[in-house]
Amino acid sequence: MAEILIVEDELSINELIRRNLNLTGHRCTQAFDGVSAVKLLEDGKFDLLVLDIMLPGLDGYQVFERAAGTPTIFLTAKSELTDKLKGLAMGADDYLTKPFQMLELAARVEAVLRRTKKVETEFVLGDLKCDFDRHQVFLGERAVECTPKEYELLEVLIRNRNIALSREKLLDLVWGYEFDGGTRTVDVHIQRLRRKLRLEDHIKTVYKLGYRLESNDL
Amino acid sequence: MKRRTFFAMLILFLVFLNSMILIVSTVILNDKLSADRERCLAEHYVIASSLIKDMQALEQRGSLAKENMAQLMRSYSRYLQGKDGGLAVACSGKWIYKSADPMPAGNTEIPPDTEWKQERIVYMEDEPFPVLFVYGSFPASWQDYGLLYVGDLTDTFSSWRHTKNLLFLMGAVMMFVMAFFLFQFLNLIFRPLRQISGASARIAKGDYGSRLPVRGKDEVAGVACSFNLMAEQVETQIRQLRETAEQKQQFVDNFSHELRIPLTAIYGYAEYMQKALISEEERYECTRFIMSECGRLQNMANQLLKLALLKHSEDEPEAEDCSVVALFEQSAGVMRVKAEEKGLRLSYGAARDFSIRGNMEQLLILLNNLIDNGMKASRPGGEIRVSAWLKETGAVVEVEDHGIGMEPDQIGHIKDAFYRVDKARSRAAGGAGLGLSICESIVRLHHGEMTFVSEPGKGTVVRLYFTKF
Repeated sequence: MAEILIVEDELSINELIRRNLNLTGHRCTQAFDGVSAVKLLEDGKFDLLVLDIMLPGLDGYQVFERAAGTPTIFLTAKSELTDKLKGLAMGADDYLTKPFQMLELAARVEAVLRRTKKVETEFVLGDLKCDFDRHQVFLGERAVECTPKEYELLEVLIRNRNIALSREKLLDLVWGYEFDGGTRTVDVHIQRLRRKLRLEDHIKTVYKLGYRLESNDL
Repeated sequence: MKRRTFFAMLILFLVFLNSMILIVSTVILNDKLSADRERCLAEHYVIASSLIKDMQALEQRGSLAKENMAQLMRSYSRYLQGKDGGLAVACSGKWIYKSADPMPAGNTEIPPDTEWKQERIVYMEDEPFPVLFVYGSFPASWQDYGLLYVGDLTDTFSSWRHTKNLLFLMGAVMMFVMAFFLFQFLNLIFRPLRQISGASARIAKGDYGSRLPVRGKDEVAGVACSFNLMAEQVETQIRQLRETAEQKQQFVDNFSHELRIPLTAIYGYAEYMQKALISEEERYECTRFIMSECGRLQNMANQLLKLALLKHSEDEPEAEDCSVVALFEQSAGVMRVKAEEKGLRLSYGAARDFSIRGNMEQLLILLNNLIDNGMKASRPGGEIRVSAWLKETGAVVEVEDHGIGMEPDQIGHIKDAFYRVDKARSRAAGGAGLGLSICESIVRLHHGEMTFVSEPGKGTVVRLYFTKF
């Protein structure tokens, strides 16, 4: 759960980013131009800044200079290397080129938050409690034994909660590219998680896509 | 080329110089020898005539001249010894007196009946030094006797040799001087050629600003002039090509940037709908965003097509006399409704009706685009005034608004494709950023001119000039 300021002048894209970040449990504030972004940065404390470069009023670089060390992901429609390099050279944590994919956005936001220690340390869903620091899962007060792969799968589902993940994607994220077992492995592990953690109502099978962990913290 | 010219000229010069020296030294030698000959003849004559007198005197006193010859000749011999010369007297073909021993022994065969004052010049090659012999027999009563005069030519020859050597030495010095000046001169002559080749090489390497200095009015200056003209042409063409390429690149960059935003939104919302758990309300909002972004793409495609058609129509639009009043009426029919929707006042005014030569349809697009821009810049309740009048040089149409205006640096960019003064506002109003590019194309096809006067916060005046045909 992090406080994120989205600065993007295009209403549709600003909304899109907000909705995506809301899914994974972040609180978002929206700004549509440089000047109001600077004002919001002065008033409040944000864990992360998603900043477009081409903005009316002050451009992204100018806003970044006034952001006083807030972790920043630059959002750019230009794929030119110089723009990326300039942003990174100024001390930005990452950049994202439009068009981007949901998982890419979520992963980069997650990575920056983890680096800046702003990432959540535990996740609670009903009776289920997951401690990310100690890699332990509790159901009520009772610790539940999980294999390493089961735990990793659960963490990936929690980190990308409310987003449907394909079996292939889960295979990549949990088992890695070298694993050459089929996608059946994913199904088997999902079944085990559902049974062990009583997540039958939360880990949904999405038609033709894969699985989605639904949490009601939206 | 330069080297060949240099050597050819140098060799030619050397041949001339040396043959001149040769001729001059020969002439000098001949002059000297003939002078010596005259001198020897004269001395021979003087000595011979005084010897005859002496001999006559001796005969009268009764002594034999033949026997006293050595005595008679002593004073003459002494005189000649100082000059390295010598004397010999012959009588009846025999030498009866010799002044010195190194006398030419082989040459004493004197024919007895030689003419008086018969002389000959003999140059003795085998002698260690050159001498001149003058032999002459005495007149009638003393015809048995003959006098041989030996003149020394060593001085003459050595001085001639000295002169000759000096001449050749000077010739050699002259050759070096000549070579030096010839080299400098050829450098001077060939310098323009060198400059031309240098400038061509620079231009070939891409330094198109390279020019030749033009001096004087000769052929070289003419060549330099035409070379510069050529370089100028090349530079201009290259610059134009570069500008066109830059414009195209800019257009493509802007275009891809413009495409990216709706594409990002459309893809993003579609993915969101597919992967996220969403409510009915969210589904509606997402589809609304997708549809409006599609609408924007469609609008952009339409505008681009229009622009492409205008840019590629090489030939003039079908020209007719378009009445300004009719133009205003047609424009008002479309634009008044829009203005009312936005709560703006729109007024048209023409002092009197006149016609503009052009294509009615395009002029209408042009005018409506400008009015549309004015409406986008205006605040609610604002006013847009369209007016037209006739000037001596042509027609003027003006669109004036009292909206937000523009900064001077923005005015420089407004004709660029996809440029927007106020991004957020213009996109929200559905603009593709191509309106003024289209206007500019139409104005250019009508050989007109479009100027902008604007002040931030006060409004903008767009003025169109159409020259008379």
